[in-house]
Amino acid sequence: MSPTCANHSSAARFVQVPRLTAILQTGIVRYGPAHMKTSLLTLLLIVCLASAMVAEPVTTAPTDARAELAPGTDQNDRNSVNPAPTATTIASPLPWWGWALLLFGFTTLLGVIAVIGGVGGGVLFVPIVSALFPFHFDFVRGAGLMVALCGALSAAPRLLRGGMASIRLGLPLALIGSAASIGGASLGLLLPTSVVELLLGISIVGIATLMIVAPGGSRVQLRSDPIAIALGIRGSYYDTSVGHRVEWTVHRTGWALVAYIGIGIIGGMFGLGAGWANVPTLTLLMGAPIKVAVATSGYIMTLNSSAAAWVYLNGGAVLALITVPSIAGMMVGTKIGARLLPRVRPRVIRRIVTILLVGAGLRSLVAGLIGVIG
Amino acid sequence: MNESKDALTPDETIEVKIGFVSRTYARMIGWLVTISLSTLVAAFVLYVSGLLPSSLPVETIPGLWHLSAADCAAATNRTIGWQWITQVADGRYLVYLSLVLFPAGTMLLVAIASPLYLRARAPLMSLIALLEAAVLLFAAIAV
Repeated sequence: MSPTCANHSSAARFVQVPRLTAILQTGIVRYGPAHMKTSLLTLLLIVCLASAMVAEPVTTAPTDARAELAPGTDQNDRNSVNPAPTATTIASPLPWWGWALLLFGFTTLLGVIAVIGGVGGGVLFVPIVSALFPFHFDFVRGAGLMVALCGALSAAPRLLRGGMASIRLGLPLALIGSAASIGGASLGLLLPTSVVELLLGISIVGIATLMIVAPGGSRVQLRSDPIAIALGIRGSYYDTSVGHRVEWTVHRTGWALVAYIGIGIIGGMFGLGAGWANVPTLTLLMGAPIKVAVATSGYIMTLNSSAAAWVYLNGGAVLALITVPSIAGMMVGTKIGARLLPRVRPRVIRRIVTILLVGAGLRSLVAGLIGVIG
Repeated sequence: MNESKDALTPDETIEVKIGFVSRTYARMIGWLVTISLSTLVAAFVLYVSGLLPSSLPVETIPGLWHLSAADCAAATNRTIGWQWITQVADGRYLVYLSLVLFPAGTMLLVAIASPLYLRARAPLMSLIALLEAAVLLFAAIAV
C-alpha cells in the first residue's frame, strides 16, 4: 500500500479537524503539489491570524475609522472619489481576526458541502453568507465571484490535462456568458440592494427547484446541429465505468448560446458564477455526457467569473478581509469534501443543500420585498 | 490493435494539435494559480501583520463593511480606476494587486491561446479565444 493510501485509510477514522491538521502537517511530503498549495495557504493564514491575536488580543474595531484615515488622505485627494461625510462606521462585536477565523471556518464547511452536494461554491456562498454575516451585499457578491474564480482555476489544470474538458465546447459558451456577466455585474452594482436581493431570492429558489425537478442525466447526443458542426464541437473519451470509448457531440447549440446570456447576467449580477447552470445546460439542453459537462463547466467558470470579477474589483466591491479567508476556506473545504465524498451519501447532502438554498433564497426574497416595499 | 495511429486524417491531426494546445493551456493555468496564490498569501500576511503600512488598517474594516461598495470607497478614499497601481507599497493595494492577478492571468492566458490555436490550424477557435480576451480586457479597463 502506498504511503498516500495508508494515510488515506487510517485518517478515515478521524473527524474533519484532525484530518485538516494532518493535511497541514504532512501536505508537503504526502499530498503532492496540488495539496501543498492549499496547505501552504491555510498554514500561512493561521500563522498570520495567530500572530495578530498575540499582538493585539483584545482589539475591537474603532468606532470612527475616518479619524484614523485622515492623516493619509491628503496625498490621495487628487485620485480619490469624494469622501462623503454621510458614511458611518459601526462598532463590531468581534475583532477583525475573529471575523476572519469565523469566515474561514464557515467557508471550509461550505466547501465540503458544495463538493458533496455537487453544486458550485458560489451558489452556496452568496445567499448563505449574506444571510448570516453582517457584510454589505456588494462585498458578499464580490467575494463570491473571487471564490468561484479561484476554485475554478485550481481545478482547471487537472480537468484540461485529463482530456475530459472540451475547450471547443466551453469557449463559445464562455464568450457569450462572460460578455453577459459584465452587463449583469454592472447592473447588480447599479440597482438598489433591495431589488438585487429580491431578484437573488427568486433566482436561488428557482435554482433549488431546478435541482429538485431536473433528471439525473440525459441521453448522449450523437447528431450535431449546424453550429456545432461549424465550431467542430465533438469528441470522445474512454469511460472506465462502462469499459468502452464514448463518442459525443452536441445539439441545440444556438439555444445554449442564448441561454448563456441569461446565465451570464444572473451569475454576474449575484456573484454566483456559472457553476449552478453549466452542467444542466450542457447535459439536458445540449446532450453532452455528464463527465464532459462537469469538466467543461470548470473551464467555463474561469472565464465567466473573470469577466464579472473585474467589474466588482474596479467597483471597490472586493474587501481582502472577506475575500481572502473565504478563498482559503473554500479551497480547504473542497479538498476535504473530495476526500469525504466516497464515505458519505451524496443524496442526503444534496437534500440538505436544497433545503439550505430554499431557506436562504426565501430569506433573500423576503428581505428584498421588505426593502422594496418599505 | 489500432493501426490508425500512423495514418491520421487531416481532421485527426488538427485534433491532436488542439489537444496539445489544451495541455499547454492547462500547464499555464497551473503556473498562474501557483503564482497568484503565493502572492495573495504573502500580500495578505504583510497587510494584516502591519509589516507594510496601509491607508486602510485591517482593524477598521469590520466597522465599514456594512456600507455599500460606493460608500465604503468614498469613506476610505479608495483611488478610482487603475491609479491604485502606483500605490502598491500600500498594504491595502498590494492585496488588491494579488487578487487582480487571477482575472488578469486568465485574460493573458486566453490571449496566448489564440495564436496557438491558429498554429494548430483551428482559425475559428483562435478567433473565439481572441474575442474572449477582448471581452475580458474590456471588463478590466472600461467597466
